[in-house]
Amino acid sequence: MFLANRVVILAVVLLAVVMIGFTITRSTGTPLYASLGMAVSEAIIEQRAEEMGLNEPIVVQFWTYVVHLLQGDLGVSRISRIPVAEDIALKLPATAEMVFFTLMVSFIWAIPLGVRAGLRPGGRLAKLGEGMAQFGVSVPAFWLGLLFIFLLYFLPPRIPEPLGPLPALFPPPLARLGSVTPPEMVTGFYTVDALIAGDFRLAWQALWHLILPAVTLSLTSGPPLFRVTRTAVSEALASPFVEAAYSYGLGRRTVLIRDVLRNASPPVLNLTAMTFGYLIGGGVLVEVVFSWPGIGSYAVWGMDNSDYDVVLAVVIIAAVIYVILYFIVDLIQFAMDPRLRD
Amino acid sequence: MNSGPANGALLTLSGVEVAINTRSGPVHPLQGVDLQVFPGETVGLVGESGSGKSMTLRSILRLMPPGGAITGGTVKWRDRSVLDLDSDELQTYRGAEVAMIYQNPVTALDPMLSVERQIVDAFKANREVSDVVPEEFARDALRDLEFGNPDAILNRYPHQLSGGMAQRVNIALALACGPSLILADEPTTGLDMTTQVRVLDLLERQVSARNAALLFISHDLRAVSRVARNIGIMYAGRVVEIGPRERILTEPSHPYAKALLECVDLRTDERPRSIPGLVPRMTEEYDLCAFRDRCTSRMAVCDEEPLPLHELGGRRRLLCHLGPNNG
Repeated sequence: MFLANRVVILAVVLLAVVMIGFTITRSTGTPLYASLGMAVSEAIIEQRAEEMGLNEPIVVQFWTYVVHLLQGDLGVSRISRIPVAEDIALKLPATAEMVFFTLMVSFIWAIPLGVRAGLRPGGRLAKLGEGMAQFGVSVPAFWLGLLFIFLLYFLPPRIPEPLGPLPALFPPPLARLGSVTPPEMVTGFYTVDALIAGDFRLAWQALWHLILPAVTLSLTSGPPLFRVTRTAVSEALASPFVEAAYSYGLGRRTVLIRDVLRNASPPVLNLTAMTFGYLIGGGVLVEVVFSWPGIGSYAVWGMDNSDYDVVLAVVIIAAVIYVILYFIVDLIQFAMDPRLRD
Repeated sequence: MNSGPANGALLTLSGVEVAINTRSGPVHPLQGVDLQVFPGETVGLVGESGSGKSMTLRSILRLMPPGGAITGGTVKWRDRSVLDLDSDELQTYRGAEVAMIYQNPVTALDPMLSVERQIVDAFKANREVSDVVPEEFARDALRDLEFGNPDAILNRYPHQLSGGMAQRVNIALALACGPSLILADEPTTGLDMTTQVRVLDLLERQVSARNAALLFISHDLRAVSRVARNIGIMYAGRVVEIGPRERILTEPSHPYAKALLECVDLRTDERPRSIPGLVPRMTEEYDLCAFRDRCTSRMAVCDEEPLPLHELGGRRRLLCHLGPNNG
């Protein structure tokens, strides 16, 4: 019942996203001038509009779009003339890899510190986590990214004697690999593809390029994860069943894993999925700062050119990813929490 | 206040004090609790909420709430000091020697784990698993607690149990640890009347079948007098009077015990009355009698000297200036 419910809700959400996205993109401008330039005659504009089906009633246009969408056709960029699906196949893995490593970084600091802060409020590690969380929510991600580039790459060679000059971070922490040839595409994650190709140097380089964007995004998107983890752990710890478990002579470690962390995990899992979904579209400015060729930058490029299909495709892809993530989280929760199964 | 060397007692609390640091300042729920439990016997503690009953049980297991600590007195298990156990010894002591049954049976069970898993884990944590298969042990444990279809219950989760069933599972859990003493913290408070009686009966029978001792606390004098052979009356973090059930029920000496008995007249079914005045705030430490503001027999000495302990023989003890047999 629970799962059937979820599937229906997800389908409705997707349909709503397509409808709203379609309406908004169609009502905010036309790609005609961007693709043809201003110095063309009315006749040519009109002819092009006819070709692109822009003179059809909006309902017919929507229908055509949905039919194509269901066949996996996301349209063609009106500017570059490249099918949107092809562009996304290249750019989505770039963003996904960055977001994935961002969460890895958050798993290294936000969740362990959150657990610790929940177990021992007021301790030194709790204070460290609270400080990082406070800092992370207070600074914009793009600014933090620029700061890192400035401090690690730009500044060191410019420090005057006698302290400097110091070597700069090399290679410059920009783009996915700089000028190096990327590995043959299998998963689209350069780190993974390089390992598959057996090229450890390349894998290391890909990882190296990921570190700064991932740290930047993690510091700014990790604070909610830290806080939710802290709250969930401290609530679970205060539960009567935890005291009862201790009273039966179960050890600290057993109680921590068996009772506290298990019962604290649902909200953390939920927020992790939410953060992933948010970062797919929300990391745009960081993509720009680090010249990261992801779908965030792609969407911005599409908006600049009123390129409907590009913008709408990114919106839909982000929504689909959200929906799939939520479904996976629901499945995990369903497996973990007996209360949901009734 | 010292009860001297162990005289065969399982458990001896002497002058136990607990302080909890809260945001609004320290609270002193226990202000010198003296209590003994002997092997196989049943002791009941009665008192209003806030009198320190639950905290007494928690101090026995050294399970303190955040900010709480045992600040004075001694807790002895046989002839070992519980307060000196290291964390490994404490883990062995909890469960295998002393196990607890909680007030709210549903929240005392982990909502994410099956009944079987919880019983098996408690069993494995305390016993050498040699010739007993833990899963079979769990089934037998439920059968002992009168579950008609133990296999079905083993696969259930706490939210699928009624209050009475959940409390029987909690009893099974405590017994699974194989303790010599069971602490019961108002185990029937949340249950309806008929279930209360049944759960109490079961608890009593299962505990005595294992020759274990039972320390039972409740605000309900009826429930305590049903189960306990010795009854202690708690007030403001102290056991003000303790003795055999018949003596406490028929001729109590402490004015608070008398007032409490008058409130809940066990011979009639009249609605309980209340004792005039307020329960003292436990943010203060009381050197003098904490009941004297509500006491109808207050004397000048009550405002001047700390409480004297009267040992009345036959394990009767009294904390009051009036002394025994004061009419």
